[in-house]
This record gives sequence, structure tokens and C-alpha cells, in this order.
Amino acid sequence: MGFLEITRKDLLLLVRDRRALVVLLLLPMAFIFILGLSTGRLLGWRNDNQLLKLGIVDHCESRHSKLIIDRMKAIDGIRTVQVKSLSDVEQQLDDRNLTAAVVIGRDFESKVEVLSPQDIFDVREARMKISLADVDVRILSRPTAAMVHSVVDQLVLFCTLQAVLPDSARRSKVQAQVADLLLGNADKDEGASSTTDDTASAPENTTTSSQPARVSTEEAAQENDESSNPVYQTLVPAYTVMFAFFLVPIMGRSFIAERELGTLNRLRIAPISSVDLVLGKTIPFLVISLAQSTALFLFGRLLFGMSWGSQPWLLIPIVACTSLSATGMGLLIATLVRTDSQVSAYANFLVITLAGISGCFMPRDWLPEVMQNVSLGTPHAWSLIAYHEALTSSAPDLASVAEACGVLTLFAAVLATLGCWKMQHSRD
Amino acid sequence: MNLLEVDRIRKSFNGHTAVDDLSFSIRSGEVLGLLGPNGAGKTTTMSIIAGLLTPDDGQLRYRGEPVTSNSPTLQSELGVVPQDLAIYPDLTASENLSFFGRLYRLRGAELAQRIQFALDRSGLTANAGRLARTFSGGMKRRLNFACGLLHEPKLLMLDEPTVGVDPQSRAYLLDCVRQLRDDGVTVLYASHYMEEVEDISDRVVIIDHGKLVTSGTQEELLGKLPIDIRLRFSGDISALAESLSKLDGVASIDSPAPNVTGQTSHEFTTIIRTTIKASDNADLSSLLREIVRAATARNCGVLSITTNDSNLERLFLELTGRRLRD
Repeated sequence: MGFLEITRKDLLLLVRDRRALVVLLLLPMAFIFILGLSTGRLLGWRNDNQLLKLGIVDHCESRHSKLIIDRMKAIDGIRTVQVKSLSDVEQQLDDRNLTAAVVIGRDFESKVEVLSPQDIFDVREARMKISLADVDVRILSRPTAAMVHSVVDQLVLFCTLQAVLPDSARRSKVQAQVADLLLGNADKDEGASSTTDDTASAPENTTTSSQPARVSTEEAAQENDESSNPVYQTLVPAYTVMFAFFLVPIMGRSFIAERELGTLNRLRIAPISSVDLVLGKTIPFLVISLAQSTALFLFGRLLFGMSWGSQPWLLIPIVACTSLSATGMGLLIATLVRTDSQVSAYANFLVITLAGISGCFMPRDWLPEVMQNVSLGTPHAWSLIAYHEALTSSAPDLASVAEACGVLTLFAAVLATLGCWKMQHSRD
Repeated sequence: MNLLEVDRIRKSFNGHTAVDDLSFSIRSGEVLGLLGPNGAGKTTTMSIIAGLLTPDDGQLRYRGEPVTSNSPTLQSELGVVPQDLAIYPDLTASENLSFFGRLYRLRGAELAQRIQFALDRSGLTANAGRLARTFSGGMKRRLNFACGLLHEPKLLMLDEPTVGVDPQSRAYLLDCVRQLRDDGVTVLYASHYMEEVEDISDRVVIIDHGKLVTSGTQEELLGKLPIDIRLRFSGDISALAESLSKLDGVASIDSPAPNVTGQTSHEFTTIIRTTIKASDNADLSSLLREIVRAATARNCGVLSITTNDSNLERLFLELTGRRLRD
């Protein structure tokens, strides 16, 4: 049981080594904190600079125009600003106080009152017929913001349809069911809007019944926890994975220190087996890695209100398998490097490169397909895949998580075996 | 009885032979000095004995049994004080000792007692709770030493334990080695400081370029050394040198050199190399009388006659043509 003594000693040394604690705990916390501040929320605080600032000029001030404005206000990521006149909104656009503006014309209400579903949809071509100009709505933006212009145009059109379609459908009973299906009412109250005029005519109920349909399980998972911010579902695991592998250079340095201090020879001379030695030198880092990941997820939860997904227990095997593979890689690298300079040059390069190609720096979905496939050769990628499934899916695919954990364990086994072999053959 | 036998071991690194067909043995309870200049192969030899290196050829026997890799008996009975410090600077002296003691399966009261013993022996009791990094060089050396004897080894190997140590700590360490010998511990003491080896060793093994040069007790080794006589005289140098060279027991005479520090220009010094061994006191007395007689006959004044001390440094020089500290 000599490994327990080495484990205890190394844990004591690690606790006294402030540099290791800074790299393993404070640095990832600082990364998450800073990036979280710039992209999301901290303890409910919201960074308005990241919001789309949308000016609204409502010349019509009708029931439907107010509905559109309410809907846009309800969209996360948009801050609406009511502006009185067209000249004011143009000035604010020039001053860059607004990202874009929506101008609802005086004829808006009169145009939407006569809209029929046939005016909105081209059933034969299966496409939208209507545009905002048809209902006297305009989008203004700076000439350089063409993409923003298009996005806002589609967004406002969607809100407009949500506001006017129920009334339009009601006027055309034949299309009501289609409208309900499109608006997602069928699941909640099948036929209610098509058969009950009272329900359909009440403005509040109209608003409620026309909520957008759930389009993915990911949205559903996020809706489960209203306080959570999806940014952290990506940010926290990404940096947890990245910094879990920062264990590699620290492990390398620990082995080098043991060698340079001459204490490695003392350990080899002592009546303990080489298995004791390897275990004793490895377990402390596994413990530190587990503590690090746990601390970072607690940090994300307490400070940023991140969600641990619909089945939080899934994080346990993922954290464990990620730590195992990081420790395995650490063991292999520790037996390869001979000097502190080599650790700085090779181990840090390896850790940062693997983090980069695997998707720790940006969501994996953003990576090109080739890169996504290449990154499957890294343990980081499998860890990120597992975290993504566990954190963002309302019903995580257990097989997918198990597969990722299996691959991570395989990585750990192969890397640790190579490390042991190298250690055994480097005695002379 | 031989505790350890080293039998014709050989070790090479990248074509360089560090230990070449080396054989010697250590008797139970003795201090064996392993003497040789830097690079002679002392550390490699000790590393092989400790199991850190595998010999290319040859074998070790401990208590008569062949030593295989990580032999459990040798591992548990061997203490090593390496040449370089092998302690954890971020642990206290007590923590260092406790850790190494636990590796040797010491626990509880026994461990506490051994730690106290090691601290007392190394003079570190008052500093037991200080981090090793705050110690002076000498204190670190003493802690390094204490770690090696914590588990009451039967065989203690010390590899240049006093390199870079202040005189006070050196004296402390050498005293410790003597006490250990008195306690019955067998010690293999490697050094290139011949004074230390002369001081504490019962027997000496001298190696150079990985090969055994000679071995034996100091009396045996130094007794084989021929005596050199340093003669300071005044008068006719050429006539005296000729007559001295014909004396029995004189091997050769160095050309007399003027004594530049002398008070007159007629003073000279010469070295008379003899064939007389240090153990032959009678022959030496006889030769000295003949030298004085020859000088008087040639009207030369004998100002002083001294014999060179026989020591391991001279022995090494005699046997290898090199100095130990070359």
C-alpha cells in the first residue's frame, strides 16, 4: 500500500503549490467569469451591450401593432426602444444607439384586417406570400448592417404573423386548423381556436395560444430551468474540459521535480512496487482533477445559475472519465518530458492545441465537419460531446453519453499503459 | 562474513564503459571506503547495488543470495544517502522523515521513535518543524543523511555525502558514520576525499575508469608504497648525488634543485626515491644512516631529512599516475 503514502505526500505538496492551484482552479474560474460576463449573466445581471437594440416607431397604435411590439419585447436577446418619430429613429441609427428599427405605418391595421390565409401562404408553392411591405411595416438599419437587416426583417415578419394569423384564420374557418397547427395550438387545446369563438377572440388567450411550437429538445431543456443561461451550458464544460487537461503539464512538472530532487530514486530504492509508484504518483492528480471539475460546475451553478441538465447525475461519470483520460495523458507526457522547458514547450502546446481542435474554444457545432471528425481523435471532443448531451438535452441519450464515457476510459487506459511502459523502460 | 559481494559487474552507457569487470565484497559490520576520482564509476556502482541500474554483466550477492531486480531483502535492509540531495523542500524535516519511514512500513510509535532518533543523530531536532527549503546546505545534507538511516538499514551506502558541506556538518556526518559502525551497521562510503576514507574506513576499494585498482586494509595498501626521502643539504651536489645513487635501497634521485628560499645559494633539495616499503622500518633506518654518512664524507651539510607520508592520495598517484582530484 505504498501508493497511499505517495498519494498523501503529493496531495500535501499540491496543496502547498500555489502555482498548481492557480492554474487548475483560479484560472478556469477567471476564464468562465470573464467570458460569462461578456456573453451572459452573472447572478442575474444582464449585459445589455450584447442585446439587439431595436427602435420601434408605431404610427398605427392599433391592437395588432401593440401585439407585435409585445412579442418582440418578449424575445430574449432583444431590447426594444419606443421612438416617437421617424426622424428620431434615423438619428439614433446614425448615432449607433440602435441596431435597427421597425416602423409600423398608419395603414398597418387596415391592411392586416383584410388579410386572409391565402394572402399569407402560397399553399401550392408551400411558401410565404406576404412581406412586411404588404402590411405597411418597414425595417430601417445602417447600410453596413445588411445581415442584421435581414434577421430583423424575418423576426418582425414572424411576430407579425403570430399577431395577425389567429384573426385571419378565424375569418377563414376553412384554414383555422392549418393555422392552429402552424401556431402549435393543436397539442395544447386541440380545436379550441377553431371551434370556440370566445377563446379565440380574447386578446390574452390569443397571445397565450399563439406561443411558438417547441422545435427541439434543447429548447425544452433550457425552458425547464428559467434561471439558467445557455451560454454557461457551453462555457463551463468547455473550460472544465480544457483545464482538466492542464493537469498534463503539472503532472509532468511533478515527475520532473521528483527526478531532479533525486527523490524518484529514493522511491525506486524503497520496498514498494513499480505499480505502487505509478499509482501513488497518478492518484493525487486524479483527485485534484475531480475536485477541479466539481468546483467548476458548482461555480457555474452558484454564480451563473447554469443548469446541470435534466439528469444531473450524468455529470458524475463524465467528470470521472474526463479526469481519468487527462490523468492518463499526464502520466504518458510525464514519462516523455525530461526538463521543465520541455513541459512548457511540448505539454502546453499539446494541451492548447487539443483544446482548440476539439471545440473547447468555441461550440463544436461551429467547427467545420472535417474538424469535428478530426477532433474525435482527442479525449476532449468526447468529453464535450457527453457534456453537451447531458446538459442541453431534455431527455439525454444515455447510449450516447455511455459511448463517450467508454471512449474516454479507453483513452485513459491506452495512455496510462503507454506511460507505464515508458516508465518501466526508462530506468537505465 | 561477506554481506554483499559484487562480482565482475559491467555497465556501459552509449558505448562508454562506466563500470568494467568490477569485483569487491563488503564484510558485515565494516566501513568500506570506495575511493576514486570523479567519473571513476562510484555512483554507477552504487546505483547498480541499489537496483536503480541493471548491470550489463556480472552479478551481486546479498547474504550469499544472488540479487535479482528489486530483491525484497536487499530493498528493505538497504539505506542510501545519495550524492545529490533527495528530500522534499516543501515538506518539513519531520514530514520528510515520516514519508520515507512509512515507505519502509514504519508506523505509529515505532515511526515516531525512529524519526526522533534520526533527528537526534542528524542534529535537526530543533528544526524538525521547518520546511526543508529553509535549511542551510549543511542542514539539508544532514536531513538527506537522516532519511537514509531512518529504517535502521543493515547496509548503508553513502555517495559523496560531504560534497559542498561546511566543516562543522562534515564532522557531524563523519561522527554519525562512526557511531553507525559502532552500532554494527555495514557502511559503503564512496568519496573522492581520501582524508575521509582514510579516517573512517576499515578497508578501501580504489577504482578508476570503472576498474578495480586495488583493495585492502589501509595498512596493507599503504605498506606496499615505497618511501620517498626529501633531503635538504649544502655543498657539492654532483659528488653527493653520485654516491647516494649507489646506496642499497635507492631507486633513483631527482636532480637537486637550488633551494630558492634558502639563506645561502649553496642549499639544495632533492627527492630520493627508494625501494623500501613503508612497513620496513629497519631498512629505512639503515638507509638514513648511510645517507648522512655519505653526505659527511663529501663535506656536505645535511640540513633536513623528511620522509613523505604514505597516504591513499600517494597510493592512487603511484598506481594510476593521476591525482584523485584530477
